[in-house]
Amino acid sequence: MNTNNQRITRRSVMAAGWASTLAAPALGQGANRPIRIGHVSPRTGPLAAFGEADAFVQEGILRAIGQGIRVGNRIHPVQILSRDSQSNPSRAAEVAAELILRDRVDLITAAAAPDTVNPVSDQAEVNEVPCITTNCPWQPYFFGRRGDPQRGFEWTWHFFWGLEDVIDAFLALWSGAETNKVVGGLFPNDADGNAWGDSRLGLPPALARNGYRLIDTGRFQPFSNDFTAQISAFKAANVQIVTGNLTPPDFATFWTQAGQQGFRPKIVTIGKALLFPSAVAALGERGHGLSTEIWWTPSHPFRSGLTGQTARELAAAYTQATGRPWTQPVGYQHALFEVAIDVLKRAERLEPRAILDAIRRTDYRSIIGPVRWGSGPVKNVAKTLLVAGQWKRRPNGAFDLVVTTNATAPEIPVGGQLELLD
Amino acid sequence: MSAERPFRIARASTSSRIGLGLVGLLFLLLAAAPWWAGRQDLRLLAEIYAYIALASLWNLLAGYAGLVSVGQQAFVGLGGYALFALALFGGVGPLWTIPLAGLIGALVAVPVALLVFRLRGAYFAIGTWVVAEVFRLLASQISSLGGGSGTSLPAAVVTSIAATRHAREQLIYWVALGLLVLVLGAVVLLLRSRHGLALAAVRDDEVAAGSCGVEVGRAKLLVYVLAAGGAAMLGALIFLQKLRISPDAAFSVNDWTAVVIFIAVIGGLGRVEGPIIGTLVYFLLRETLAPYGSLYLLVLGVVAIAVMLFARQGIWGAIADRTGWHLFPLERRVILPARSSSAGIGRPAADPHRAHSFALAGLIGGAALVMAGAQAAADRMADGKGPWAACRGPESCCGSPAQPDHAAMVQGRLRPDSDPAARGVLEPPPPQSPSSCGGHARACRSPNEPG
Repeated sequence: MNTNNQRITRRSVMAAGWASTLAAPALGQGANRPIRIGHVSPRTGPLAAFGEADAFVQEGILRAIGQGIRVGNRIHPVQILSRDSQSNPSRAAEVAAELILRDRVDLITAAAAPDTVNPVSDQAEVNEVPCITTNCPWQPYFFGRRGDPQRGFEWTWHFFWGLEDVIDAFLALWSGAETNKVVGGLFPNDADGNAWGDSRLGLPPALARNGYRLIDTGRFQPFSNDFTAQISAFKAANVQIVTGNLTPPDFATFWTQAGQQGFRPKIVTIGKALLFPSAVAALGERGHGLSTEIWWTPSHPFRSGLTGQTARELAAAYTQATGRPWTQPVGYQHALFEVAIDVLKRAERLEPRAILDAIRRTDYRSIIGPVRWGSGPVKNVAKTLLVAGQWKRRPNGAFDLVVTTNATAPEIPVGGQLELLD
Repeated sequence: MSAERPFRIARASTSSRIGLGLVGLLFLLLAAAPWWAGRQDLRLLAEIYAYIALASLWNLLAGYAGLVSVGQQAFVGLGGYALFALALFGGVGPLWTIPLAGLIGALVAVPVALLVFRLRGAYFAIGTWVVAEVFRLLASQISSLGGGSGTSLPAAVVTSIAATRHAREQLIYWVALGLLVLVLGAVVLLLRSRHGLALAAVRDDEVAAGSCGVEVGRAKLLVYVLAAGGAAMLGALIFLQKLRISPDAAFSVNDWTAVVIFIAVIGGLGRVEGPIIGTLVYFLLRETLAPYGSLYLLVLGVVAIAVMLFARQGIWGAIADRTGWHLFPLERRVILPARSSSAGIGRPAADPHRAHSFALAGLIGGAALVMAGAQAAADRMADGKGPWAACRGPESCCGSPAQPDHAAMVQGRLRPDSDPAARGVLEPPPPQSPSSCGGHARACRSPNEPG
């Protein structure tokens, strides 16, 4: 179709060559043009842990597709063109534009934090290319892009949970514990911190409604190296619960200084910093008992609609292939491609409008649970399930993430009880 | 006239006449690009123009006025933010924000110049960087523009440029080409004017120029304000294409200064042609080495350092010295009627003091790129455990007081030289420093954040 007038450049040849190593089984079809799925995620830089599973997931997806997928009445091979955002929003915008303009992808996908998801979505919206993203709470995605809830976006679609889910999950986590309900908030001046600490939509009003007192010392510059001001304020107010959204290095700094300065809260529930086993293991014994939000675990009772694998099988395959423990983004990266393939299979023709229609009609059961647009808080957002839990240290030093509350999503099994620190 | 003066000053030469003709032809060809190039090519060309323009402005600063600024990202970012503020709150059409951004950049540059002109050489370089960091921190406090998170340009604003996507892309492309012509034209005209003669004198020897009656301070201010205004216009254009701005991206020292220094230095400082050649080399390297990830930045850094050590005049400098070619009629040659011999006074003198400040510039740029590459490599190495796993508690890296490792890198290795001009000289970085400490610490931080 489009391939005739596509100019052959050195890059496109290299990209095709590179993609074909991934898509090896899909080659040899010849007759029908390949479907190109663009993918942007951070493979290097501070967000690299989110992109850790990319290669593994893409291999599995392409293996499951085999010869290709049927669109209309033709079988098209599938290529996934994956690009590194270097955790840099400028770079993410650039590679997204390249995928759209040079590689002419049919569908573009992106994952991991507003820094990747938002610039890619912006490029897709302006260039009128269907776009599916995940792995970023929907408020920073939607309001961070100046979305208007009345009108929404045209080309860009997102599935993930939102701040209201985190708030519910955290409140459910704390509700069983005996505390004085005084909460210390740590919100940096970045996309996530501003959204979580927002006085209208964030944690502060929700905590007040539920009888918690919030001690918020204000937004601080990320990568601070001194949390003394916050720790003194928390100690003075007798804070027993600490919450917020921090990067792992910031949390490590805070938590070490809290220890040195004799601040001992009963519960520490932090977003983002405690997602990855490596970040928690780096804290040593002081990692035990920290709690966080949980979007996906091997015990989630879901099965991939594409490969038929269960969550546990996928996690086991990941550990076997890479020698690394499972992480939460593994499930979501997998689901992102599952949804993309499902959309393309349902598209009537290989053109942007038809693919867009297929996205709108999505009703899919993925390895992270159901994904369906239309019932979310705004037009372009589909919500996914969220629970909360706690890291527990095994005697050998490894950490397990255990779901301790499922009030927000009863279908997800609870694995243990919340233990208080100290 | 010639009766009174037994000589005349020639500016054009055969090569510059041919050169100008070629430049004119090339311009016509490029202006017609929307009819012969694909969408991605247009975007790439627009990016190339922006970098040639940025590098030309930096060349004017460092190569002519001796102002080695490491803080031009302050004005690029300012221009980008001006675009967002004017388009979102002022309802100004996005393309109209570009000249306004230039005006704002030039106005802001005046008080900044009063501040940073109190510093010299290496101190000036660091001072401008500090100013850019202050701008970045200020931008992250503006919550209506997203604070530290940044914000996007709504699609409605972008589509207000022109109804169809095709018309929009053409228009943005022509604006980019127009800006390049404007910047190059302004640089050439400035250098041909009497200010240009003053600048050439300042470039060759500041003290001697001052003693001949050149107002060194005013000449420098003029250049600084022009460069700031130009950088701000380019910033607005760049972020109009990126559609999203955040303080880290807008005030990125790597994207808007280190790369620009690399381009100007390898192309040849103190020559108008240098940045053009440098940009072509940079994009050639970038487009061929990009698939190799972090290696690419390391190669850029090594190339910059090698050029500074072995070919300080840059690529165009080496060509022009051997052939006498000039694309632009900027050289002033004295032609004596008796003998047809001439003496050029337009070419940079091989002044050892000034060469130091070029070396400083090149090495800062090179070292910054090497650091960025090493950081990316460190990230990749830490891949096994995730990048953050590299932090074994705050003491090991993130919480250490030596936060600004980029700054520390420059400060640590900059020393006032013993030469009478007391210019800063940058030593090549010790081989293991980026990987042992700097790279390690960088692995925990955003790549745009110099500290």
